[in-house]
Amino acid sequence: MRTPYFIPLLLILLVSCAPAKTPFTLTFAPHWDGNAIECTGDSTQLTDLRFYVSALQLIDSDGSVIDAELENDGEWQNSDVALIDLEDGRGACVNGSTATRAFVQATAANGEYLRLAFTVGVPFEQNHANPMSAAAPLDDAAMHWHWRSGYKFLHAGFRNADRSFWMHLGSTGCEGTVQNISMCNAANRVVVEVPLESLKNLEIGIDLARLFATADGSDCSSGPAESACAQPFKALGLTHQDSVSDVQTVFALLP
Amino acid sequence: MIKWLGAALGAALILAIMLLLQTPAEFDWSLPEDYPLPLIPADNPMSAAKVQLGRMLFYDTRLSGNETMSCATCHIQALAFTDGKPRSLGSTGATHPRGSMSLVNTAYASRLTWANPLLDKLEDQALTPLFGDNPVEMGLGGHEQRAAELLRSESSYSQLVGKAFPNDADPHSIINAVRAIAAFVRSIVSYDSAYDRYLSGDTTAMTSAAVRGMDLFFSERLECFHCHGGFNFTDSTTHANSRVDTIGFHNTGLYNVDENGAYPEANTGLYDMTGEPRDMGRFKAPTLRNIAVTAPYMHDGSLATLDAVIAHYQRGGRLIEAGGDAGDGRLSPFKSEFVGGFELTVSEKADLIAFLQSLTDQTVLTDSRWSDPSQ
Repeated sequence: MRTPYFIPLLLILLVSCAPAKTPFTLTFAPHWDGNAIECTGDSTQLTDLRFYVSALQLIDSDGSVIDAELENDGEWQNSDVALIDLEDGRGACVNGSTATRAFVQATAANGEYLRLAFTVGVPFEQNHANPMSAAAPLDDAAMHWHWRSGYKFLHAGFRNADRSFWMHLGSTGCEGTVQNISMCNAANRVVVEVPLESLKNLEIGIDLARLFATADGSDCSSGPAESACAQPFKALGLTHQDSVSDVQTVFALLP
Repeated sequence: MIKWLGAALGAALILAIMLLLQTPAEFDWSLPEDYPLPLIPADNPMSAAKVQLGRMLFYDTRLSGNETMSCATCHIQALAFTDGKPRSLGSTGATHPRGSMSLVNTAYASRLTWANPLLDKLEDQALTPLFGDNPVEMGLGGHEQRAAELLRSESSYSQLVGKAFPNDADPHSIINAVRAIAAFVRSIVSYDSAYDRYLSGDTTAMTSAAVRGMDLFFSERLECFHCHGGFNFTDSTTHANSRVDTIGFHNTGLYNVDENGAYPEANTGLYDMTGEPRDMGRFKAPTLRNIAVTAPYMHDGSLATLDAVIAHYQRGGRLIEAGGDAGDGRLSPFKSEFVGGFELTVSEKADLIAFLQSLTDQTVLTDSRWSDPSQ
């Protein structure tokens, strides 16, 4: 009797029809010393918080790194990068936009994951293309540095009764010409990695009291000469002149 | 058979004529014979219609967020398209760290603005004054659709935009508005100064003082021409027949705030772009054409007169005796080898200034090709 060769094939087909991917949502929230803050409020106010998220990855118990897929919604995220906008243009967010977006929508292969990682920044390949013809979410002129070439990966700022500060983070020291950048000596992409229990209820707190621990009265546009950049860069795990750091302390998974 | 051939030939002829009519005529630069043609980006060819469209946009305050300023606010024709201020003011009152640069002969600039090695095209440069937020200049961010709407809905624009961009299915876009402005700015060329007329054979065009000043300018004693050389009086020059792009950035010893050559933090020049220590305080040598009408001088307007500029170079660097920027620029380790200082008598200084004044081109300061079309 001939072996019914199609039976194992049928099994494989049946298995692959089962959902092999899990959708998940990564939400972000602005904090000051562990307390939620917004553009309006009585004590510390947000003045800006917008950033790009890319390279969303999950790491399993073997240390294998699995790329999560971003859902291209044509507005806030394409398949490589998502824009998070946590300011609503009210109160202290004077140069902001009314639209907000607090989460990244993604899917990942089913698995047991121990850690989650993502990058605050736009991938090099998309970072130096012409912003005037880019598709969403890379079509936001407010998030682009036309004179340095590339996007501002992060806008962040706060103010309270004691002090205020804002920063714009992006790649500097780029070589070539605006439409033909070959490399950037200071890429300034922030890598975040957090431990994970499940893919449910994932919320990342962004603590501006850590980002701007001592920053005061001035601002940081990522320039190499800007001494006010040293402290916030260190908090983001970035090198700025003599200030060297490799682990960010600003983004943390909320319990 | 012959009838068919004739019909085919006739059709081909009609097609060829149609294609010829579609191709924009060669742009008339009206340049003197010995002047090189500018280098034009392949994706933004010049045409009279595009330049006219760009001229209208250049003078239109609706291209600023609060509709209070146009490109011309900081680039005034009578001042060779500068604004006469030490440092420019944006539409919302923010002060720019640097002064407005002349737009004359930017068509020949190998790099644009004061100290940016990345910016080689006006189409890219224009986006910073339009959309930049640190500082806010025109503040068009958040109003990205306004330029496209203007091109579509305003009749004076909609009549021109099709002629300016004949191959675009929908030419009404911010990209095309920027291209038109870039084409207009490229059209602002200066070739009619007393110095130019002198070079083309009119020996009476320059005063004898200016001729003596010219000899000083081009002398190894003063060394001015090493950075301000060539027909455009800057070493950052390119043109259609250039074999190489020359790009120069120089530290002239204007500051030395920490005795290690530092410039004030907001204005470190090329260093801000590269992070390379050797680039501290390096700025582009601007064209000297029309320099007599573009005071105050240097990237931050910190020298009020040509007399002060020459005194700075004569000393080989500026001494600031007191205040937050105090320091002796002459001792800067980053200073250009050409800024060594020189002896200069009072009458020689007057001659040198007379030469710089001979670079003023009344045509570019007054010609209606570049004036406000609504006036």
